[in-house]
Amino acid sequence: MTYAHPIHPAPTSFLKKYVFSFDHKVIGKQFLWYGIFFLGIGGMMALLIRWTLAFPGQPFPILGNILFPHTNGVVPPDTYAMLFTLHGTIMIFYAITPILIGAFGNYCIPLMIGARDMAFPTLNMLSFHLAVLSGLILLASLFLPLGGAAGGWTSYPTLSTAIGSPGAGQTFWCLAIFVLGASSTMGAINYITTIISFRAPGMGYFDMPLTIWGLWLTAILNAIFIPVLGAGVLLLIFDRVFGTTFFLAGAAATSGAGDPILFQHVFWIFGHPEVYILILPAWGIVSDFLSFFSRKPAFGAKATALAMTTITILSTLVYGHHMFTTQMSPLLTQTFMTLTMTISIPSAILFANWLGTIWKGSIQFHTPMLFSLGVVFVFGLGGLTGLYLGTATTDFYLHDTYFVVGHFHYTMAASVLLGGFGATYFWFPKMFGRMMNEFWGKVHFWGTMIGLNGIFAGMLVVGYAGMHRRLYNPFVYDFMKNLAPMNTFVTYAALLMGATQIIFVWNFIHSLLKGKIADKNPWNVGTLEWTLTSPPPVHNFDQIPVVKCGPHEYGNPNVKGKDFQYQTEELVKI
Amino acid sequence: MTIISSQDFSKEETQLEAENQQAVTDYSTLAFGIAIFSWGMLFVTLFLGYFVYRFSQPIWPPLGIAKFSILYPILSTGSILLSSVLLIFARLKLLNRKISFPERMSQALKFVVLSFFLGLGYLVFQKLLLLQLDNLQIYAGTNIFSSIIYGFTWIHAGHLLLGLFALLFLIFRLNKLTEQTEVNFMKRSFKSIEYFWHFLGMVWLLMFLMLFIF
Repeated sequence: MTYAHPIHPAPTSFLKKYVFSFDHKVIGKQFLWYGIFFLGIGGMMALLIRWTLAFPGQPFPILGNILFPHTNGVVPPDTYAMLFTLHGTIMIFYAITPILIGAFGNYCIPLMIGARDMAFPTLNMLSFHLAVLSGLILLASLFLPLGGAAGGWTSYPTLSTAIGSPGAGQTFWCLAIFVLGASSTMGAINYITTIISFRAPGMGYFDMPLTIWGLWLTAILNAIFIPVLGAGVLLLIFDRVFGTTFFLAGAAATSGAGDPILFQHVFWIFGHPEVYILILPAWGIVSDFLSFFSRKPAFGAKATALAMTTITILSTLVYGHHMFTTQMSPLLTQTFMTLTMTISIPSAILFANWLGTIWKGSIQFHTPMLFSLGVVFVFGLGGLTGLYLGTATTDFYLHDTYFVVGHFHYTMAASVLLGGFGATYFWFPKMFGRMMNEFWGKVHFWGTMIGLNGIFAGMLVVGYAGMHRRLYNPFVYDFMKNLAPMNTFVTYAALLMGATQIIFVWNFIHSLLKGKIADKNPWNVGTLEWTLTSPPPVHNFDQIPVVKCGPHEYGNPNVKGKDFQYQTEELVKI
Repeated sequence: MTIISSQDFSKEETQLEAENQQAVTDYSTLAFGIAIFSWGMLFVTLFLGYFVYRFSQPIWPPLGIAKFSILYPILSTGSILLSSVLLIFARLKLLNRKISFPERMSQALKFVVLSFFLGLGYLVFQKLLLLQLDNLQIYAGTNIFSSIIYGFTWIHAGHLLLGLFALLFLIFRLNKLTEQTEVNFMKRSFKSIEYFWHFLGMVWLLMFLMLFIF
């Protein structure tokens, strides 16, 4: 049974409209600002890391003397550890998650399924404000006497225990993650319920846009596995604050017999599904965009949805490939390896369907399409490098090298970031009623694409050569001295990419204020949100639409006057 | 059956209202089920950790921990299970249409209040358990077994506090209940809070059996 919220009068006060709003569109935008803010902070941290690796001992320009006055602007070693820890944490939990899942999830789900709002608008608002609280806790940790967490985003004990990481920084990190986990779980419950119960009449599961499939599967993984991380960090907090011995063992333990490796198991039981949580929305978005801008139906759309579902299920079974070097039993190692290889099959189906969608299409190289094509390239490359890491024998050499860093940045940072940018350019007209500048969008794309390929391909090379990750000064080792020029190249690529983002920010703000006024449907796309004005009214749909065809009806010569069909139109046979 | 919008004039207003309310109940039940499953995963992880520790130790409980009486855990188990039973009685009283609304409402309220106090009693017994352990110099950091007892009981007690707030909300709503709002209240708020309370009871029962009996 489909339910539709009644139409409520629009809020009038500033606080109810912009701060404590129940409207999914406003909450989506709130998550977008939040995510972009933290993307900036995480990006700055990345530049500090890259500077240290390319120019060891050199002060960081301009900001160095402000941030590190006691070392004359040079990043100190303990701060370096904090930087890579918080860069990873912020990018994963405070940038990608809020932008892809919080912003585009909240904004797009009700509009694309023909609903007036999420199932639980109050829970939605609470979810955002909890995320803000979490962000404040994490930022506050930077101002503690001994600084923020410095045990890596994976926070392995015994380094992350009170003995390895004295001070409150790591505790604040754990608390921030726990609170954010609660926020994400609330969001997940909302998304799953909304997609199941609020789809417009006529919209079966395979009539949903693939963007919604991606967001739905992400929400399912979130609901199941975030509490696992919650349990892990909660026990770590108890170890740090109350002296329990869950993760203390060996020389570091004063008493009892805990198990540090248990934390790794618990962390990666969450951690591997987490990387799929991050990529699934981008996969869905790209699968849709490739169809929209090739002006042809998505090749194997049902197979793509089923492949994403299969990957979702398999992702729960492969976590051990993050732990090949922890001396697990060989049988367990081989099992995880086999399952990891298996997960490449539905990924390949997904990829093939992307290529099938583009093949012989009338491709429109608008900015969102450029970013989508970029995702196809970077995910293809990044995904292939995963095969070497999923094979235990090669992983023994590559583990904890920059090859891993290059792999996950290609698959997570590059793919998801490009997908997120594409989504921003695509839905900007719907969100704000104005178009972003196409020329500068394309400049942004090429600068980002060249930059990130330079960075992460460079990382694959230095990692293959044996350069370890998380080292403050790897060049104290003779065998890594020859890698210094490549590291410098990677840093220049990072600076290029960082500078290009300024173009994006400028384009975003300028378009918000002075961009060309958008039509109702500037991209000529048939999904439900494009049947509404740009931006849509507060209640979205005056009358809940009745869906009569799928979201990828393009290129039908029998459709008169246009080359696509809205989902509310009767399907015209070919 | 599809609800197009609340402006669907093809149906009678009362029929539309009934269909709407049923739809709200359906998706609220779905959401609650997902929430409980999600919540359960936290405890599943804790139990997973327990099994790893338990079966990787040659002796359990580990040596160096004094024997202690399990009277307080037994009393805790009794009080939380009894409070669950009373909550079921409260629901059955409310659903008993053979007696008048004010009377069944008042009887149900008494059971819910008793259930609340038994929940408070559970927390008191938990505190007494921890004091007992403290007196025997069994602290959170003594060894992994004591860490598990302290850590898991704290986590469960934290969730039980949430449950107590939910019961307080139930008491507050019952006081304001009318015959018109009764059906939806029973299907949604009462059912959700009752099931959450039973969920907490089941989790404690498992903890009790694993930590203190087997």
